[in-house]
Amino acid sequence: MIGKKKNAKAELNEKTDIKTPVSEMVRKFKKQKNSVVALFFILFLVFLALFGEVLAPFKINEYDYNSILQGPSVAHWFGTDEFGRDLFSRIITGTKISLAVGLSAVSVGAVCGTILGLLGGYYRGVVDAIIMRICDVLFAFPGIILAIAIVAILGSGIGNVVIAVSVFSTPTFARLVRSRTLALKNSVFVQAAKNLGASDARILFRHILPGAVPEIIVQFTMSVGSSILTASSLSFLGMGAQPPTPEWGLLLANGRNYMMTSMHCTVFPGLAIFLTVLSFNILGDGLRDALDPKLTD
Amino acid sequence: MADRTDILLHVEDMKIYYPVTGKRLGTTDYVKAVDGVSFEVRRGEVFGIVGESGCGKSTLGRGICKLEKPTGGTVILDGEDISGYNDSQMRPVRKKVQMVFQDPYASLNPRMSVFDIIAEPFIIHKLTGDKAELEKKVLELLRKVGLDDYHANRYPHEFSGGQRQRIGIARALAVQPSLIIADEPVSALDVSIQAQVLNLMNQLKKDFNLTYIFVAHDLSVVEHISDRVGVMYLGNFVEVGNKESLYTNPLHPYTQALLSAVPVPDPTAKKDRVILEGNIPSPLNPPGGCKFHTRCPKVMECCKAEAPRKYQVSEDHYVYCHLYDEVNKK
Repeated sequence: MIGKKKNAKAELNEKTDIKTPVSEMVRKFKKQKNSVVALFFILFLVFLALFGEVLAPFKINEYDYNSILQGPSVAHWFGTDEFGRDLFSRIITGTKISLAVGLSAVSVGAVCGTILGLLGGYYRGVVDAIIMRICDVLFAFPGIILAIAIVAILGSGIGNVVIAVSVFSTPTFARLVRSRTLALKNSVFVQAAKNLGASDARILFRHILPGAVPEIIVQFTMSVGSSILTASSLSFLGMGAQPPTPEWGLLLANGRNYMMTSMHCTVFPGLAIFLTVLSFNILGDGLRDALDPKLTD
Repeated sequence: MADRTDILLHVEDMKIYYPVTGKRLGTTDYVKAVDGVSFEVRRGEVFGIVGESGCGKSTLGRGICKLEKPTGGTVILDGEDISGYNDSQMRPVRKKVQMVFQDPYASLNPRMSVFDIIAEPFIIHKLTGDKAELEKKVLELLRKVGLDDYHANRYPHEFSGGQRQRIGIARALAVQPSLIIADEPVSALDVSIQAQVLNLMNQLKKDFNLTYIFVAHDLSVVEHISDRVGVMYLGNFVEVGNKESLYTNPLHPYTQALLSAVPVPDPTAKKDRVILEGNIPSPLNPPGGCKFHTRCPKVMECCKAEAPRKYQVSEDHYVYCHLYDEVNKK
């Protein structure tokens, strides 16, 4: 039995003994139980975002004046709001909006920030100075204030919320990538690539960027959480999604009027936001540990 | 002399200075890492450069292939003056001169497989047509440096220092250079592995008609591999000569001191050690005249005032020392 096992392992070694950085990462990540749970929760959210509308037991704008502000029941799991709309259906339909806003805003911010950081860190000089001073200015604002300012300029609406959130997530990525670029630019293997005659674009995207990817992934995950929170906050304040969109922040704002009498109207949207942001943060933590080469088990 | 066809590389008065903030506000001082070095390397030879830490030997090597920007001087490679070349002009030149780096752990990108690392020069210079040809050439190089085909899919962290250095050498060979600058290629390796890598380099030199500039601080390693040797001190050569002549008959007091410090595996051997006093002075503010005069056991008045010129002592043996001036010889 043992002999057979060894043989099989040896065979596997010959065929697939490739310890790629990715396989190493997966192995380390699996050890973080919290993060694995968070990952599954996020996958579940993605599933809801894709099929929420189909799965919802009620239409999101189905008014039922016979059951206004009712607590959780078998028919309405999360209760109903002031128009008798089913909260459960509205929340799972709203998943799509929150995830889409969070992911798209952070993606835009990550791409812009990464490119700016690479250019600034690699070329230094005036370009770097301008990029970093702009980042400093953006950093000086608290995220939500900046987002409110941008929405105030552009007007309310979910599209402008995406723009606002991507603007304030850009400098974080720019700084992060710049610092990695500065470190990697002087590493011997980048010098070696330069010595081979590699073009700047090749050095930046083949040698420096892959070295920054772990940090970018971690930052991306963390930022998605806070972006969802910011987007919800803007909607809560009436600057994002407009009624009757079932956006979580908006549901929360609606429910606020009936908080004393019907708590479920605020608790369930609040829980949805809370759990989503929390799981993105836990996932980010787990990825940080999994991607950190210094943390060996 | 520069147009002689057996000269592959001619370096004239190379200077590499690093600006540093001066002691007084608004002034700039310079660390003179390489301070006016001239030498030439002949086709097919191994030119060894030795010297203690901080004497500028690595900087000199990096200056030749423009990884450091030289402050001044001329570099003529294969009859082509490359001193004023910018990055894009350097690109075709880099096919002729390649480097092997000191630290095999840092010189390979940890996120690229060995195949990708060795394939990179082919891709950059568009040396291969299709994927099959690329694969064939990469595997051929791997075998040439004593590794196996299955190593190609692995990542650098799975290899020992010696194996990594072999990968570094394979990468340098990919563009079929005529000159390889080896910057302390074996100093990070175990002694037994050092020998293997040195023998490999010797073998490759024959197979590919290579010329090496071999930078090291280990005198016996340099003696083993080199044809001619230059001894550096504080950014200048103090003595350049063919290996036999320099090792059996060191002329400069610094070379004598260095060689006398090499241990001899014979407990009964009595040696007249030349012990140098003090430390190597700072290259930020090197002593005037002959830079070695602060530590030289044979220092004379003229050494403090005037830098020595190059004296030819025998065919192919030069020394930069006032002791060999006709006036002082008497």
